[in-house]
Amino acid sequence: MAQTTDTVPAVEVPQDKTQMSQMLWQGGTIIALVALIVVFGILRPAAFLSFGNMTNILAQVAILTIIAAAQTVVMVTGHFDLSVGTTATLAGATASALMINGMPVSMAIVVGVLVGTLVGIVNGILVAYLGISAIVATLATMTTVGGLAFIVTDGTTLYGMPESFNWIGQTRLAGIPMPVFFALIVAAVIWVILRYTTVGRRWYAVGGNSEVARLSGVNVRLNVLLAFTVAGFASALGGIILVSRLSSASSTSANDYMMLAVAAAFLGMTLLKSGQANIGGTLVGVGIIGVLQNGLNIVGVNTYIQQVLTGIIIIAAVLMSSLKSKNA
Amino acid sequence: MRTRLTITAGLLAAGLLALTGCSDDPNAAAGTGGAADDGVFKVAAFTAGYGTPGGKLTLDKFVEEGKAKGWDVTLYTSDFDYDKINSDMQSAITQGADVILAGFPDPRQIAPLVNAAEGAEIPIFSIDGGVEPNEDFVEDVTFDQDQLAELTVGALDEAMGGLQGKDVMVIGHDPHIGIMTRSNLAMDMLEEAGANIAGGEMKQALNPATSQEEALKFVTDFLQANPEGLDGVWVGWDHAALGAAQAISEAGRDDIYVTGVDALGVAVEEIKKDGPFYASVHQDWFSVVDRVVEDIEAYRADGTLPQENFVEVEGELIDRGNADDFTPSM
Repeated sequence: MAQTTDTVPAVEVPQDKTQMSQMLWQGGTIIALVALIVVFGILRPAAFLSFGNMTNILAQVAILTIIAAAQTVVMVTGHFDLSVGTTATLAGATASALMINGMPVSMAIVVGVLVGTLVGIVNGILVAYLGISAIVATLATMTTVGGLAFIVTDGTTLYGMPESFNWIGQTRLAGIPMPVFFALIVAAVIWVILRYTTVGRRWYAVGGNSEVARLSGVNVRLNVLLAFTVAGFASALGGIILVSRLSSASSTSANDYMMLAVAAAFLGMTLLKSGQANIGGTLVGVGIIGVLQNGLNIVGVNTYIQQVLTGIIIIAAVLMSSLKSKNA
Repeated sequence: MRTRLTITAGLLAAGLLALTGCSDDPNAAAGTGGAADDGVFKVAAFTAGYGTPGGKLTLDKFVEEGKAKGWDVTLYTSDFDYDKINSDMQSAITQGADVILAGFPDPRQIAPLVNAAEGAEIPIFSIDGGVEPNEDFVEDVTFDQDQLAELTVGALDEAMGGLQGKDVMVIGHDPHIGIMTRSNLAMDMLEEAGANIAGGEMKQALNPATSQEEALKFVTDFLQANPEGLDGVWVGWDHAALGAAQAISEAGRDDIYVTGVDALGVAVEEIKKDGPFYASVHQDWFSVVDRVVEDIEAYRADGTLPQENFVEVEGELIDRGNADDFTPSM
């Protein structure tokens, strides 16, 4: 006896609509950046869209790019580093203090970078080997390192570094400020590490699911330690470039970059379907912050309102990335 | 587990050693007038602005002079966190402070400690505690904000060849009462003299410690949008003025001038270069400290309180004419 089976007619899926909403969802951050450029371009076309202003925006976000890239590395492993700003401050202040006291520029820079790297190592040990929550551990180091910056600067503003040090932050190559090139180099190196190296893949594995990564043979602790170390190193570079840019080092000069770096990384996380941190997305996030601040200044918006808008963007970014994580 | 315990024990030991090393010398002088029953004259000093060059310099000098007098001086600081300051000072009062020294306080934010001091009948001496007499303080020695504004606006007037019709950006920081006062006074003076306020309103820096970069961005972006719309920048303190001057130099302009207040060493170096940084004002905080220390010493000796509770002193303009002869203290 032949058996017959009824088949349920397939429900027609509105594929075009789904793809469109997926694209909008996926590219929302890029669309926001383009929208900001269009809005400010319409409001003040001559001033905002000029080559000079585009260069200006790149210069203004260069240091944020470096510190946000540092934050991205840690966030790839599923952690946070709240100390990137104070680490940058301390590294810059240390290098400045040493230069003022007669140490050769190159040597002082190396020591400054080492100081930042050391902070990263301490963070890594606290989180990976002592099992302290990254937020608690880096909040503590943020406070300690902030205090050290006050000690190094003696609470005042350091100045009088050799003229040759200004080359890093104040010269231009083909009309583009040097910090922009340093930012591009740091971003490119981190992008290559994250995308094409074993260690980058391991960081993503740890950030995706540390237990699965461990069972797959990944040394989770070592990789988390390494990520924090890289973040300390990159933050130190950002702090030293900032000091060169301003020709002075204060006790809190780079502290405010931490929140903006977190915001940029969160904005960037919305670009990937998985909702993971990624350097390309972070650059888009940095672009949004830079364009917003520059555009609002050019339009003449009060700084307090700028602060409010930046906060709203952070909230929106966190909301979007958390929604994306749930949907992934 | 053992490693974690060892590291934790090490951190605790390091903390205890640091605390031991930082402890004050207990050999402090006894007083008669204002001293408490324990015979030690305890001064609890505070500032929320220890992160600023002026705040640190002044309070360090006060501690140094107070200890030289034999007082037991404890300095409480924060980064503009008045909640912490109020808590710290309430504890200090409970622990038997004889006098409070308020360094650069914001009178609007210290009500809890003022009430605690009143309750314990402890006098509060103040340095730069506002712009008008305040009954909360038995003495407040401060700089005349009107004179600071006059000097700096006058310097801009001189640099720009008059104020009538000129476009001047004003950069202030309202959370700091001194800067807020002189910034508003300067803005009024500029407008009365016929100058236009660039952007239509005062620019507000969010954080004095990062204000150099903030001012750099303000002026760079403004010049980008209005290349011919700026003749001068009046800034309420030197750190931000340095950023404004840097923006003007980077824009390749030599026809826009900047003034600041504080006469920081780095600012005086810029003034000497005959570039955009035209002038600043030196506030001799050491002489203010000397006066307050002498008045506290008089109180310690026999309980005498100052005759005046509000003393205004004047600043000195530092410009291209006298920058070479000036030795900065900050």
